[in-house]
Amino acid sequence: MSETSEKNDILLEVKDLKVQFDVRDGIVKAVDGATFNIRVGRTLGVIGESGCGKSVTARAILRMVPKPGKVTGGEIFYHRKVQSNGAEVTDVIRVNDLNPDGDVIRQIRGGEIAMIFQEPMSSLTPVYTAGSHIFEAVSLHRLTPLRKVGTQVEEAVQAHRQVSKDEAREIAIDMLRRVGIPKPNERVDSYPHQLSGGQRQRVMIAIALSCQPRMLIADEPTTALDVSIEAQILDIMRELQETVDMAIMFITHNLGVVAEMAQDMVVMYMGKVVEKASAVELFYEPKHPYTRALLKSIPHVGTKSRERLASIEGMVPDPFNLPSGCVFHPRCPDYMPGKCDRITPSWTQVEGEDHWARCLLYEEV
Amino acid sequence: MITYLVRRLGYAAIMLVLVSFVSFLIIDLPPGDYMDQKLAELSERGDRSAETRIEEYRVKYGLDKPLLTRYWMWASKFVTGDFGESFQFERPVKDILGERLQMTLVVALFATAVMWIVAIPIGVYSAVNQYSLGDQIMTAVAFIGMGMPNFLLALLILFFAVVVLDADITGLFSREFRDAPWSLARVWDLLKHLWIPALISSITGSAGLIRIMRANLLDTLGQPFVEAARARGLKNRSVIWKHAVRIAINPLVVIFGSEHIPGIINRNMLLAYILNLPTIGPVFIQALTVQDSYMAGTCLTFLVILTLLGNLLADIGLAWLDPRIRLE
Amino acid sequence: MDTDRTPETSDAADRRRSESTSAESPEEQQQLSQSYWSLVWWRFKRSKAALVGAAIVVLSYFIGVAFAEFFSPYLVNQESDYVEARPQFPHFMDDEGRFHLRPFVYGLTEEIDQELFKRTFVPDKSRRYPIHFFVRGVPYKLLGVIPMDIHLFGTDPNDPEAHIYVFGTDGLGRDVLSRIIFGARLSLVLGLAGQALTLIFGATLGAMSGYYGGGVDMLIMRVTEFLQAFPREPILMALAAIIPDTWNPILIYFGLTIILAFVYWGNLARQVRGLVLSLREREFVLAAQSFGASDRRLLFRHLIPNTMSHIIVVATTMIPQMIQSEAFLGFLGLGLRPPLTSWGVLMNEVSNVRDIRFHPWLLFPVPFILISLLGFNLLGDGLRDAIDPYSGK
Repeated sequence: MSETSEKNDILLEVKDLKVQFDVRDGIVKAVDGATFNIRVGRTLGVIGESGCGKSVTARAILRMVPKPGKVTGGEIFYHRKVQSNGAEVTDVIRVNDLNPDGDVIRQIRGGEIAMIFQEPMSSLTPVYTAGSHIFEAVSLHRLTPLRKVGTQVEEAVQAHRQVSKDEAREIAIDMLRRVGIPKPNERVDSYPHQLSGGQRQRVMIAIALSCQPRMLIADEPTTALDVSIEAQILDIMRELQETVDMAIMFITHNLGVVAEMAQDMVVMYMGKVVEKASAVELFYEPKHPYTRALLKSIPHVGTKSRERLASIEGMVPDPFNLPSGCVFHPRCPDYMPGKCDRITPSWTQVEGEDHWARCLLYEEV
Repeated sequence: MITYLVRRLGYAAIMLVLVSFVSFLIIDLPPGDYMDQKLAELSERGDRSAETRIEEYRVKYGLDKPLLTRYWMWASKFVTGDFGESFQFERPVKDILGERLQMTLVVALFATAVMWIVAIPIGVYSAVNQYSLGDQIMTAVAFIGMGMPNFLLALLILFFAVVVLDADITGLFSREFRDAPWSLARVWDLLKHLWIPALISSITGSAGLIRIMRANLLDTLGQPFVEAARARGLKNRSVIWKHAVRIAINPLVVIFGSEHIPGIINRNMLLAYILNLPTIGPVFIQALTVQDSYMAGTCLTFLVILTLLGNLLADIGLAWLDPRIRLE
Repeated sequence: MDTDRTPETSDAADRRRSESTSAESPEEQQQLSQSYWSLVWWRFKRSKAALVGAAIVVLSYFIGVAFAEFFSPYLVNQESDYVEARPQFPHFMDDEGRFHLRPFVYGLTEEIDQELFKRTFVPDKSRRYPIHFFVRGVPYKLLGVIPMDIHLFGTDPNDPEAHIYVFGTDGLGRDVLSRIIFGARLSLVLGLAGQALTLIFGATLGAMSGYYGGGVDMLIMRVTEFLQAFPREPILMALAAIIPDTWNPILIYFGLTIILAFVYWGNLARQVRGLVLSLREREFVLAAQSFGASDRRLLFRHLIPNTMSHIIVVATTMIPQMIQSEAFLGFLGLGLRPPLTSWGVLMNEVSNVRDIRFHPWLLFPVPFILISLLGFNLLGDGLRDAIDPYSGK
């Protein structure tokens, strides 16, 4: 397989995903139509306000949607690389079918798709050292048996064994060094409360990488960090992505950060993906009114001091009482009465390269 | 670490002296003393020389001396292991307590073990399956169990056993085995009797533990590190026990130290009294009601020792379990 | 401003927004403008368990404290010849299978138990005493003032032989049911009074401790720590033993109330101290101080009322503990004694455990005590959730 085609290989497909939560006051459609792909070695930025469903989408990929939520529609396909008859083939797994506590998804979690979270302050178990976290992950995923495809016994089954404690410690120290933690051989025995926020997030990245995953889901990884630490973390992520050819799904509400990191972009609002494009196209040719409003709301150097900050009018609607038609219409500067409040827009391709949007401005009705 | 321990022990010693003195004082406060009762008893039996006998007793036990002197006499001998003599039984307190110590420990250990073995899994199940039918039932049962005083429960169960089943559930051994040497049969007999106080004791005790375990675990399950552990591919069982419960259980260790250790004497006192178990509880109660000063004082002091010891163990245990606390 | 907008007046835009986004339900809107206590009540109502608890407590005080004489067929110390009689349970169907609309009880007849040489009273199926409701019985003064003689139920007033001892009688021939109801009066009031005293004492000291800090705080905290080192039950026993038998029953009652308050105040003081410590730094305290409010005024007019809600919750959970304490003290013969009748005194009558098999009906107070304790606990729990829904669970 040539490098370029591998780079454009699809790793994860999300098709019209729907996730809903059954709560006492009603049903909340946390995700109501999310469609995007993640490609090998590339970073997808997922942008949206708090509560727009981006975190739920990420969790759905790993079958980790917390109760009382459940996936009620759409599909997620993970293209997994396995050995068969000596060659590498792709096994397409429909994630919806997997048992949330079953063997397959647990091999994938951490071992093939890793996830890091928003709150480094409390994402590590307080009673275990950084090293033991890595050891735990590594014993689960490194050298786990590959699936035997077919019944030919003559094919060489890779010998595998659990990593020994000493080996694991070496791996841990090495990983900590790679994420830029000073004195890794001391820090490997540190407890989380002995580390700063930035260091904890690095540890999380180290844990994720120690299992050599093909994809990293980063759910607002730098939101809780200082700007200077944030810059360092982003650097590490970019560097590691280049070295191990890892795909990243980067979830954030910070447009500036995602502009640095992502090659492809997806914008979410109220559980729906409203626009999808490459990063360059999204920033220069935004099509959806929401995307445009978001971009306009970024304060920039050169704004005269007496100008008001541009903001999106209105408020995020009550999830139990969603607007009719297009869910954004009450706040939309391009609102077309009679259309936008009655017809729900569908996912349409717009001009540009693989550029899609969910807006009646681009749809023939 | 050493300085910390020394400080704690020093503080405990001071507390002990103060508490034992105040206890002595309180026990002594009711008008009259034990001997008045004995006088009444002897007179009733027609003992003509009762008065002189009582005076002899009074001198023997130092009841004619002021409180401070008596306390000092007792306290100074206490540290050497001589706890004075019991007025009721006219035997050294040390012997009486010694005889009953073994069974006290057996009952306490058994009851505590049952409590924990029952409560922890139920609490965990309740939290993990919040709002399920099982959880709601367990929460209701735990709530009711918590509000029930031990001794009332004991009376109820006694009622059922005696009236409905016509069984004799008092004591810890059947008549044949009471003073017999240890044998497998005796152990079996013990177990047959032991389950009732263990059951009663553990109902109220485990109710509280269940509620706390459930509440702590619910809090912990909502923390980000639990989700992070799951995202690394751990089995659900590992996520819950190795990560969540491991954190949630720490406050319960404090409970073990501060309540269950002094509970060896304290928890089942009334229960033992009702069921007439050969433990320290019944004699303690008896001593308090009739002003058997040295007996009551000794038991109280040991109770306080256990409380202080328990608190110390709880704090040490907590620091051992939770590295965040160690630095303080 | 975005110039691409389709022309729309700002009014229309606002209307569009408010119609499309959710309107709060009228209930919610009303809720937002109500006072703190009506909010608490609204939340309280949502928990069925809390309502059950409240009902039990209210009923207990209504029946036991206020109108005990009405609800009991007999007086509390009314002795009779029917000593240690078995319970006379009401029946609707008699032995011959006939159904009677008016329930009845079988009369009691004396029987000598040959084995134990004891005199007992057992039901005599040949005599039936119908139960009358709102019947004339022993005269009394309702609420201590109004002379009445109507009881909720009883036997035919014209039949001097008729008797109804629903839960049997005790060693002096007194009706157990009546004694349970009257016992409730003393026990429940004791719980309340003890708690009130604890509140006054504990809340004030705790608030002072939290507010003044420094030496006052240290002193009060050391004292409470010292008191908490004593095991509760033995200390209650030792203190209760101090009350001489010879005292006037009223004095004994007061003495017990004080003892209970003495043992329980420490915990309350600590909690109030914690609350005051957190409130002390809040703005309204600074504002009041800037107006020249004196310390005492601050404490009583501002700080304590703000801790009121938490104090109420703690108080509600302490009352059952006090009732429980009284019960176990009475069981051991300490605390309240005859001629007073409380649940503790009733418990004393079963203290000789071996004899329970001869008169197990004397255990009837136990389920009543348990139910009232449960009621208080449910109420306390419900109050806690209503006042501060984010605490605990």
